Parts: sequence; C-alpha cells; structure tokens
Amino acid sequence: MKIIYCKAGCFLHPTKNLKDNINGYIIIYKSLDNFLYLGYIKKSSLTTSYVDYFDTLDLYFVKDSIIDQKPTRVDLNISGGIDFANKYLYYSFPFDSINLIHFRKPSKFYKGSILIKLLNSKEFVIFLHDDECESTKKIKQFKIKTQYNPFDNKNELYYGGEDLKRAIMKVTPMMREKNNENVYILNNKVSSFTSDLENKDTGSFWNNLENTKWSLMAKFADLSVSLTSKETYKKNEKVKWVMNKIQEIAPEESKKFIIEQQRYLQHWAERFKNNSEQEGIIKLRKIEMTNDGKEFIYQTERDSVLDLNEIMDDEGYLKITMFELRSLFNFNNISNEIRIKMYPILLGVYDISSNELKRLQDDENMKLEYEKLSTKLNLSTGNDNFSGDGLDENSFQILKDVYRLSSMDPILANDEGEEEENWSLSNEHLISINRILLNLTQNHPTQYVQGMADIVSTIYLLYPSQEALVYNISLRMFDDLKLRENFREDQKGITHNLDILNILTDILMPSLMKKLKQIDAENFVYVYKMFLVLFTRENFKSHDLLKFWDYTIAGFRKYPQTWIVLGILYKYKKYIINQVSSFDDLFIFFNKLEIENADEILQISDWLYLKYFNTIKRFDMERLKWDVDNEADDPLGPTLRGILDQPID
Amino acid sequence: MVTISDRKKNILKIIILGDSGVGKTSLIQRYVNGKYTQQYKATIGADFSTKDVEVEDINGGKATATLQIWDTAGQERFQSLGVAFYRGADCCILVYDVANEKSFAKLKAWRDDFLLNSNVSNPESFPFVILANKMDIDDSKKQVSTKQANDLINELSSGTSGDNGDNGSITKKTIPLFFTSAKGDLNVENAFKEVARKALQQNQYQLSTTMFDDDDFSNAINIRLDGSSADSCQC
Repeated sequence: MKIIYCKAGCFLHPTKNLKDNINGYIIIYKSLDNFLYLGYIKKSSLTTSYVDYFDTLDLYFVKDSIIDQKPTRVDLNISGGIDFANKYLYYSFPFDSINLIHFRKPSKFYKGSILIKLLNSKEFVIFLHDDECESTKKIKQFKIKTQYNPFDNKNELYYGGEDLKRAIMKVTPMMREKNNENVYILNNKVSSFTSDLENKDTGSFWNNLENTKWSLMAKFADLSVSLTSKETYKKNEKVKWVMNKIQEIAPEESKKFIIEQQRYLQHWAERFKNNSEQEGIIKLRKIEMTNDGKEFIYQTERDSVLDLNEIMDDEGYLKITMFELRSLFNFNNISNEIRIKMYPILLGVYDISSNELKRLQDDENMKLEYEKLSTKLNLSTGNDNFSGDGLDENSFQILKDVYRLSSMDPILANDEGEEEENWSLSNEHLISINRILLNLTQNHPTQYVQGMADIVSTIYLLYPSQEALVYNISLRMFDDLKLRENFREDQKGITHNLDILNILTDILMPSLMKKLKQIDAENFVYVYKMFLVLFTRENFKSHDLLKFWDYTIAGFRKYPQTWIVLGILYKYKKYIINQVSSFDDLFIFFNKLEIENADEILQISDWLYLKYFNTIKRFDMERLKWDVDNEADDPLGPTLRGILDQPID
Repeated sequence: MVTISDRKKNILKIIILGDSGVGKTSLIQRYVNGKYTQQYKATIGADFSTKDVEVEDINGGKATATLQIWDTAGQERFQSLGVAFYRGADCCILVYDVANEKSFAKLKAWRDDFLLNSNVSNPESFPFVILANKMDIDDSKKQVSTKQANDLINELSSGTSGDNGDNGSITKKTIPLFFTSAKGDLNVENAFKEVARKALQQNQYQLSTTMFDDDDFSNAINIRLDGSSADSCQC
C-alpha cells in the first residue's frame, strides 16, 4: 500500500472521559489493487519505529501547504500490504463508501473535527487536536508569518481540517453542500439505476427528482466542482508568499525595487502558467486519446418539466432551491411558461425567495428606476427622437439595426410605406428595443455593436411591452453572463472563448482538430456568431433556440456556450472530417447548417463535459504515481482546471 | 490557402464590403433572388450566397461559373474577421450609400483593409468594383455627388496601378463604378455581370501564376470553357 497523506494528533472520543480518547493518525492510502481508502491508525497499537515513521510522514506532507518546504525523502510504500492493514488499521473506508464529510472548525469549546458519514448511514467522528499535531502547528506558524493581514478581519485561524480537506480533494471529487459550506458530499446515496427503476411509475417529477437528484443532477454537479482548486490556490500562494517577502523588506528598499520585483514576478507567473498549460494539454490529449473509443449515442429526449406548479406554489414561492433550479434548466427540457417565469430569477433580477406579490412590487420599482435612467439618457444625448436625423454614431448604429429587426416577428413590423432613408421607427415595440439598447450601451465603453440587438429582441419577444424588465434581464445577461465581453473592441472576450474551444476540441476530439489544422480552420471564426449572438442566427428545425438559452442562463457551467458549440462540432465531426476540404467549405457548411435537435446537442455537451472531467481525473490519478519531487507543480494550470468550475451563488 | 483544386470547381469568390446599412445584403438578395426587402437583419461576421452565371472568359469565349458572394458585416468591430473571409477572393465589391457621406469616405479604408488582409498576389491589379447604392432616394437627400465619386475612382485607380508616370508601362486599372438601387432594381444585374467578368479574369490570372507550382494544372486548365474553343475562335 502507498501512503498518500498522513495526519498526526488525531483522536477518537468514544466516551466523555479524557482517558478513553484514542490517539492516532488519519491516513489516505492506495491499496495494492489501486483503490483509495481513508484510514485511522491507533497510535498505541504501533511499534516505536512505526510511530516515528508516521510522525515523519505527518511532517512530510507539510510540503503541500508550505511552498518552500523541502522534506527529506521518505518511502511512501509500506510493505506488508494486507497484513499491515489488518494489524494496524482501526478504521478503513474506501472513498466510494463515504457519503459525506463534515469538516467542523474548532470553536471556543471544542477541538476541530471531521464527521464521516458512510453510505450505509454509519457515522464516525475524528477530532483534530491541533496543538498535538506537528504538521498543523508548522503550517499555522507559516500562515501567520506570511499571510496575516491586520487590516483584514477575514483572517481565520488555521486548523488541521484544512489540509486534510485538500488532501481528500486531491484524490476524489467532493461537492460542497448548498446549505452548509463545511459539508462535502463524496457519493450519492441512491444509485441511478435503482432509483430509476423504483420510481418509474410514480409519475410526479418531484418524487423522481428527490430520488434521482444525486444520481442525475448531483452526479454532474459533483463533477462540476473544481476538483483540485487547491492547485490554483497553491500557485496563488506562491505568488502571495513572494509578495509578502517583498512587503517585508519594503521600508528599507526603494519603490523602484518593489516595482521591478513585481514586474519580474508577473513575468515569471505568466511564463510558468504558459509553459505548464502547454505541457498539460499535451498530457491530457495523450490520456484522452487512449480513452477515445466510446462514441455518444443519442437514445431518448431529456425529461421535460412543463407544469409551473411543479416548481412553484400558489403564492409564487419557489419549491426548489437555486441549485435545483439551475440543474433543472441545465438538464431538462422546460415549458415556455417556466422559462418566462424563471429567467429573471435565475439572473437575479428577482430574489429566489420572492413570491408573486414581491415580484410585482419589484416590477414597480424597476419601472421607476428605468424611467429615471431613460430620462437621464435623453437629457445627456438629446436622443429622444427615433429617426436617423442628427443622431450620434452609437444611437445611429442602434437605430439602423433596430429598424431592420422588423422582419423578426409580426409584432415588430414597421408600418407599411415606412421610408428607409431616415430609418424612422413607428412600431412601439421597436421604439422600446431601441431605448433599451441605448440605455444598455450609451454610457458603457463597449458601446453598441451589431448583434446586441439580436439578443435584446429575443428577450423582448418573451416579455413584450415590459421594457424595464427586458432592460434588467438584458443587463444581467450582458454583464453577469459576460455576453458583452464578446463584443469588446479588443476582442478579449471572444478570443478567450475561442481559445477555450480550441483547447477542448484538441483534447476531446483530436481527430477533428487535426482536420481543422489541415484546412487552416483552427481559428474557429465560423462559430464566432454562435458566441456573439447566442445562437440567434442559427437555423433550427424545431424552434429549439431557447433550449440553448436555457442551458446558458442556467449558470451551471462556466462556459455554457462553449459546451454547446462543442456538442455541435461533435455532432458533425464525421461530416467535417470526411466531406469538408477547405476553410471556405467549412464556413459555408456552418452557414447553411440546420440544427435538427437541440436536445441531442445538449446531451452531447454534457457527455463531453463528463468526458473532460474524467480525463482530468485520470490525469490526477496518473500524477499520484509521479516522482514526489514533481508533484508540487501542476502542469494543467488554472485555465484547464478552471473549465470545470461551476459558478456558485 | 486556396489551391488550384478549389479553383477548378468553377467557383468565383466575391467579397462585398462597405459600411453597415449601405445595402450590401439587399444588393445581393436583389441579384441572387430578384427580390427586395428593407428588413434584412444586420450581417454578423459573414454570410454567403451563390448564383450560377454565364460569363465571357479572357479569350472572349463563354464560360459558366458559380459566383460565391460573401456578404460581410459593415461594422468596424468585425473588421478583424476579414482576414479569414478574404482569402482566395477573385473580386471585391465596395459599396456606399449615396445618402451617407461617411460611408463614401470609408471606401478607401475598406479597399486598403481588403488588400492588407486578403494576401492577394497582385494588389496593384486586383479587381474592385464600386457600387453607389440607394440611387432611388430623393435627390435632395443625396450627400455624394457623381463628381466626388469619379474623383475617388481616379484616386483609387491610380493607387492600385502603382504607376506614377504616364509612360503606360504598367496598365492602369480603372475601377468600374455603378450607380445602383437594390430597391428600384437599378443597374444591379449589370454591376454583377461586370463583377463576374472581372472575377473570372482574376481567377484565370491566378491560375496562370500558380500553374507551374501545381501538378494538377493539366486538369485545371480545362475549367469553365464550355464549348469555348468554338465560341472564342474569330477566324
């Protein structure tokens, strides 16, 4: 067996009597058959040499928390295997059998502890006596020295559960529970197969949901939580440490010196990041290619939730949590009624805990605020006319595009005989859209860019005549969902999205990427529009556009549009590889493309997400075997791991 | 990179450029589908349309080809995308709105941007065609005179020739100008006919300059000469 982590100064408290406490070590180890376990070793059962060994191990793993720690090499493999386990392990649970772990911080009266709950409902509590744990003492000392900030009251005392938590995160994904930030779920209680079968005839969505939420939603959600955010943290910590060092010497040194140091540090960090990420992609690609055998097969449509009453009560209170709502929009097909009600809640325009009455009050306030904003805008620009005469450039650009929206829907049609040359608007809805776009862009550095009108008008058609609400939804979509970033003049937002798409295509569909490189098409500009206008210019066979919007507005993925585009690329991968012979061909293909089934695309998107997650996981498992000296550096870096981040409310 | 094998498909790639709202999409729709509406949404990135045409080849023979017309976004913000779309173009149409002086003033910038990003092998003789659109509007609303337009043509034409003298050693290319109206169906067909002719010339020029680099040339040389040997022979 191989020890992956060890913590000393742990205690079981079987009775209230101090003398009954059982001193020992928490260990994480890998068995000979490569299964991972969390174990507890009773100190009194060990020989002196083993006590020394585990004390050394406790200090050895300090290297994961203190960046300049260079531990003496120790042999992490314990001979004896099963014999050792039988003889010394007081408890031992495979990680697959653990339901959740509650990391309880120390209080004035109690030591810190962890509560381990198994899938069979048994519970175990292990106390962490930080004052008797050399590694915790050392890390705590280090943190105080390097990170204590007297002006920041967020400083919390370090306790042993922190590095234990990070060590566990290194070997298994954990999902932080919504209502308690210290409870982490490792495995769902009900397996998806049994719950599906048992509840097939219950009919109610919520009966099913209750039983399957850990198997359907939480399964994905588990995976969404950044597996090893500690790696990012560690890098930040490196930077932080050097920054602190610089600050320490600041009074004696000149300002110039500090600036130079900071510049150097920034340069170093960038170089490190680039190198490691490049290396990471190559390794990930290798891992994925060796596991690239399976293909996605579309079988049935995702579950549909059509009745608003299933998620909302008579007074308009939501019956579900925000997490469940986000899951619902990410993993299910929903009715237009639900969509219209929930978009403003998902986007934070209305509070999740609001009822219908409160939302009506909010509407009134929103209208007042919006009127003030519009009046202010008119005063500052003089743009209260809706024809092209004498307008500033931004207003004129908006007017031209809004005028041309009139073919989008009968309610937006301009009056017949309207003269084009002065682009005047007579349709009240177009006038509203024009005003919304002015309010959204006139005082923002990005200003109006073509395509913004597509997004706003699509929202408007969901909420006709509710100008203030449409403005607020649009504003959240532009800024919270970062759609506006894609329109920036410096192309930063769109370039970032296309870069992420490039990385993921390279890892998940290497054969497609090879083809794209052959035809000079790895710039992905042919899907640019999908990002920019949120699929409003795509052709859909069955009016499925808003299914893509649901997935995006759900806020369940960090890069929702990227996963959708990946789903589309995957769907047409074979055609592109076999039939497309040039960049122009590819561009034309995407231009003519008709999306037959958005439901299938979204299932592929989630399947690819899972595939990526598993690739990262396999990579991390591989990394456990690496030479210890290299373990501290994460070749994947924050970008590759950050793709898995889930936006958390 | 466009290869000869692309070229032998009888496809002529046309790029249409100009400020937003000058009527690029309307012109294309008028030409390709014979219809007009004021209500085309602003183009994002690029769209494209195709039309099969019969056109005179360089020897005066008839050739059939497919015009592949790439409609681009007019807003400056999307200009950087041009690099991807301009590649392999055979002719570039520059459009301005006669009622919008700004759109006229920007023509030179559009031309320069195209030459900068398209990587054409013959920038000095690459064919452009200028369309002065929306001629149907009231004269009182027109902001660009014919004289201004001709002056620009002269400026751009001398710019593209690369010839500073009058010795005629380098053939000056005059950029054709058409006064059009997509709405009134004025001159659109004629303009595109000229575009097709110029594009075919450019296409054949490209072929002749790349022929020795490509083993496939013996096949490529036979392109688009449907019965042309008989038609083109004047004897």
